[in-house]
Amino acid sequence: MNEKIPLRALAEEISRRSGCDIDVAQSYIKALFAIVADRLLNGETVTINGLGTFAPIPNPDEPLRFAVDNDLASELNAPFAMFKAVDFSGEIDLDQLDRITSSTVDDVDDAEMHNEPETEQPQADESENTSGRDDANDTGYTESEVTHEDATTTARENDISSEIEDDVEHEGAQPDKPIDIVDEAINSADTQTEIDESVEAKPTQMQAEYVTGDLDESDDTESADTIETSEDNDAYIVENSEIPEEDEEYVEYHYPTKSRFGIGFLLGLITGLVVGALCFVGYVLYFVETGTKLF
Amino acid sequence: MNNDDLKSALRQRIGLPESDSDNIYEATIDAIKECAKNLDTVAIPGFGSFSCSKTDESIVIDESTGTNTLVPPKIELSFRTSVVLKKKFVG
Repeated sequence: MNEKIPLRALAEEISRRSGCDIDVAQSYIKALFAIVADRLLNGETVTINGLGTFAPIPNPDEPLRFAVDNDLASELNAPFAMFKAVDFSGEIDLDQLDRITSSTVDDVDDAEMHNEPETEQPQADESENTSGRDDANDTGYTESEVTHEDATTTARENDISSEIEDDVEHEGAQPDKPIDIVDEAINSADTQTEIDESVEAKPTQMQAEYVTGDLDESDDTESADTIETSEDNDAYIVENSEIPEEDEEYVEYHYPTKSRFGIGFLLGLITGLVVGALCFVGYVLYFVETGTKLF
Repeated sequence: MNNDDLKSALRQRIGLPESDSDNIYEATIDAIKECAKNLDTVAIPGFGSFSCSKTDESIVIDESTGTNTLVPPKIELSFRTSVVLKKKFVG
């Protein structure tokens, strides 16, 4: 596809089809098109049955006009013959268009969209939650521990899925998978949310189970599920930025870091100035006492 | 000039018996067709190149009528004249 076929290759193809010599075929092609060119230079229109029509026109840039044979044109477009131009009256929703052109795992995308916010938000809101919680320090500590482990879990998940991605691609698309994938994705996403939101000491235990369970499953064909989820993660993350809800969260998340930076900088600056001023004053006083100047 | 004229002229030039010549003629056309179906470009030195291109489906917006039409994909065979031949035309 999209290759350039030189004369030699064409001659080979012809000799294969007709059973003649390659050199004979080559000279035949040259002779054929030489005759066509001669006729065209004379001003004649040349028709090659099954290919098309060449007509000379007085255009210096493109002196020949080529019209494809109708039969050949329909033959070429045979794969698309079932399609017709469809009229869309009214506006087209670009999101809908994306869904039309995307793969068959659209249902998975929809399912993931509901599950992913729960998994991502707890992690993103982690800093806010720990500060805003009324619970004891112990619970807050375990929660941060949990999220850290969770991050490593997801990282491990992605590693596993990326390693096995090649194998799964070789297997090819499996249409029956989406149903399984949806169930698996929902289950895996649910377990993740459970881990994030639980406040007891149990999370670490559950975490371990989840991790081992995931590792065991990774060897099976169910690895396709993790790949699908990771792919959906990517897809979701792209969409993420467009959803207004996420903007608020994003802005909120951004705010603390910005203010922290601002206040810290100001404090440091002021402290530095104060210290510098004190040093300067002390230095001057010292000199005034001893009576030395300019030294 | 049509098919038969071409074939007979070819026969005279090449000097092959009628059946062989016609055979090769058909084979040539079929070979070019095959390449077109594979979306390959066939280059004939001194003459030009046949290339096949696929246009994806697209939405054509007609502002005057306000209709949006989804046009299906299609494969087109086009021909580009070689520089050598162009010069012959100009000269």
